[in-house]
Amino acid sequence: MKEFEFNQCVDEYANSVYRFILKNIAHVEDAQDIVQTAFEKLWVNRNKVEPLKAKSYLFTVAYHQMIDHIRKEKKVTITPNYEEAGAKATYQKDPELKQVLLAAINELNPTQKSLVLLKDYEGYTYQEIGEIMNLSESQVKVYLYRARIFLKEKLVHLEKVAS
Amino acid sequence: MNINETNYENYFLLYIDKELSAAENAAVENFVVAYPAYAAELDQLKKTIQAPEDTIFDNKALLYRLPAMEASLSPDFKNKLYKKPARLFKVEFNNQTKAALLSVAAVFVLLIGYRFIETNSVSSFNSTVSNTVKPNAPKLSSDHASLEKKDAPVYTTVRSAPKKINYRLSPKEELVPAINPIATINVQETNNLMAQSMPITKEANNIQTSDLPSNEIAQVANVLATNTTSKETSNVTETTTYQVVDTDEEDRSVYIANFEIDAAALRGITRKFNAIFKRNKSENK
Repeated sequence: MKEFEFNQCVDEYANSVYRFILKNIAHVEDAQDIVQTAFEKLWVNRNKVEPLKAKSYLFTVAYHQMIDHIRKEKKVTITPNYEEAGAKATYQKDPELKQVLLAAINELNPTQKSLVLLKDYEGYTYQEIGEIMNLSESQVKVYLYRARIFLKEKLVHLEKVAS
Repeated sequence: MNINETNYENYFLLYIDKELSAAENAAVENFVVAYPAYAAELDQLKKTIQAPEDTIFDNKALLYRLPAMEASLSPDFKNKLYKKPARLFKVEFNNQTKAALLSVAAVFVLLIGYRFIETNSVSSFNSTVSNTVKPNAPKLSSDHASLEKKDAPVYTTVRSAPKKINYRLSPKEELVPAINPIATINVQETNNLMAQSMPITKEANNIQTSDLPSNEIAQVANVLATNTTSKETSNVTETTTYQVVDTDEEDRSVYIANFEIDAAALRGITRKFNAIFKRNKSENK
């Protein structure tokens, strides 16, 4: 990978990697750090990474970096603030679907959340998601299935409350 | 492919995740048309799909790579730039260090002593000879032969160590007047006294006078006497010249007790010590 190819990757993938991480950890500075680290690693390994695989390489590195970050954070703080956001959203009389969904997604465990985000935002196939998250294709399918059912239940519940 | 009421959920999920082929997609859509009761469920699942947001990473400038960023200093050059702290010698005077220092000092003293003995071995031989001569000296009027035999080794040793300091040679000077009576050697006396002088100086056996007739011994003694006197005188002159040189640079050697020490080397050592203590002082300040 040459310099201009790397810079092209920055242009094309920086936003999506950042979005993926930010949605997962909901912390701007930490998300930026993780993105930066991912691109650093891509630069260091630029001779080993094919330009076509650069995107999934970035997501893979960022994902694992994020998992490490979450593990460290768990040791320090246990109270995530997204639950409060979800609770507020639930009590709203006429909540926007998107907000409810965001709140519901934040209630998923980190693996399911990443699965949903990689699928919905990036449109990766089960196989690609499996490669990024180091899971088998059937695991991806099962975890994603559970996540969807959970989200669906949340939406159904909300509609019942609203009506 | 057969979608029914038991497996439809799985197909719905794959449908919304776009993991089905075109034919399978069509089958799912036909199923929903055939069973409208499940259409709402498919809609619910579709709603779980997140609409991508526009999130912008502001700090892309941090990520771009520019050619200038790859400029780097060589490790060797960097090494030159590093600051290295000066080494400090901290000696703690515990028992171990004391023992170590004492042992070093002992070795040093032994070495000097050995060197002193080694360098003086020749002169000590001379001194033994002269010592043995001195008690014989009063006998010289009668014991000429013993002196005759000591002349030869004395002058050879003097030749072997010509650059000795004056006081070491001075005993040999005493020999010079003692040699003169050799010219008036009584041959018979020499024969008589030969046995006495034998154990004192083994080197004297080099001249095998016992084999020679007494007349010849007398002649040899004469010749030796004249030779040695001339050589002694030359030796004396040599020593005087060295004396002059030594007096010019007297400070070159320092005597501590009987140890001769090169003053220049000593000065070098003391300077080094002074430098060390000065440096420590400045650092302490």
